[in-house]
Amino acid sequence: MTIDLSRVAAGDVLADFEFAVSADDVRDYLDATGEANDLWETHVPPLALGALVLAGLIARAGGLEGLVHTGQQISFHRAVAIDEALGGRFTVISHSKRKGVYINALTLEISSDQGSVAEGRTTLLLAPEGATEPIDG
Amino acid sequence: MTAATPPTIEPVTRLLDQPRVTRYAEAARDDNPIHLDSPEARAGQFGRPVAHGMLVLALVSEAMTTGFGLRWAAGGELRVRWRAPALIPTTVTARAELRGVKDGVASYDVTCEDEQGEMLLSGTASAPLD
Repeated sequence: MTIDLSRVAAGDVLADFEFAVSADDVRDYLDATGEANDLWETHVPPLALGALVLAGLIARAGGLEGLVHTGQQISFHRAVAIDEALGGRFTVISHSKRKGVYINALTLEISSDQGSVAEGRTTLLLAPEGATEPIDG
Repeated sequence: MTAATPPTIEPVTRLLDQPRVTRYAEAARDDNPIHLDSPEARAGQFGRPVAHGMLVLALVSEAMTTGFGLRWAAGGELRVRWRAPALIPTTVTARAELRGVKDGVASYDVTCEDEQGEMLLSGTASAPLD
């Protein structure tokens, strides 16, 4: 099933999936960002966790064209070990349309069998071709 | 008992160019064509590719890790909004200025600016001192 972010409603669970972050994932992330820290030999960089849980949502979205990530809140409750089994879940808080642009606020939850690992809020704009809303954050 | 002193967070500056952004697209599994050297990016509203917002934000996280170590990963919090796209290639600097300490948690105003001083991202970051 793909997600059409122009047709979601508050309360919709957009994605609910299992994932893990491998040592290769972390190495690729650090190579891309340029960060170097010995901590990440055993643990997952927090923003890698955020990026890869968003990847789970992206993988389920119906298409990325016109999608803009404008806001992010995230709280990290505990450090995550490499290869730890995790769950990711995105739920719609609000959905609106202004000047042709769809504004979606989503809750983000990352958990393990030991409880919550991280939680937050993600704001995504979907601007179909021809929409007039400027991207002003 | 003496309260822990909040660390000064050193800025992180990095060139965000197409090779780095392409590597990030692969690492983060986000191959939105607006980030790649693609016809869509060249035909889009910016006329060239833009870096992923999460790549820009990663510089803030790197800076906070330098100050807080694993406490950043085990109690840190970010609240940001992206203010402008990072048109690549560009050199971005992430900064964190201490706002204050409350209940053992240090809060910082965080920003990312490009080499022209344009604000790409702003918000707050906080982390426990112990």
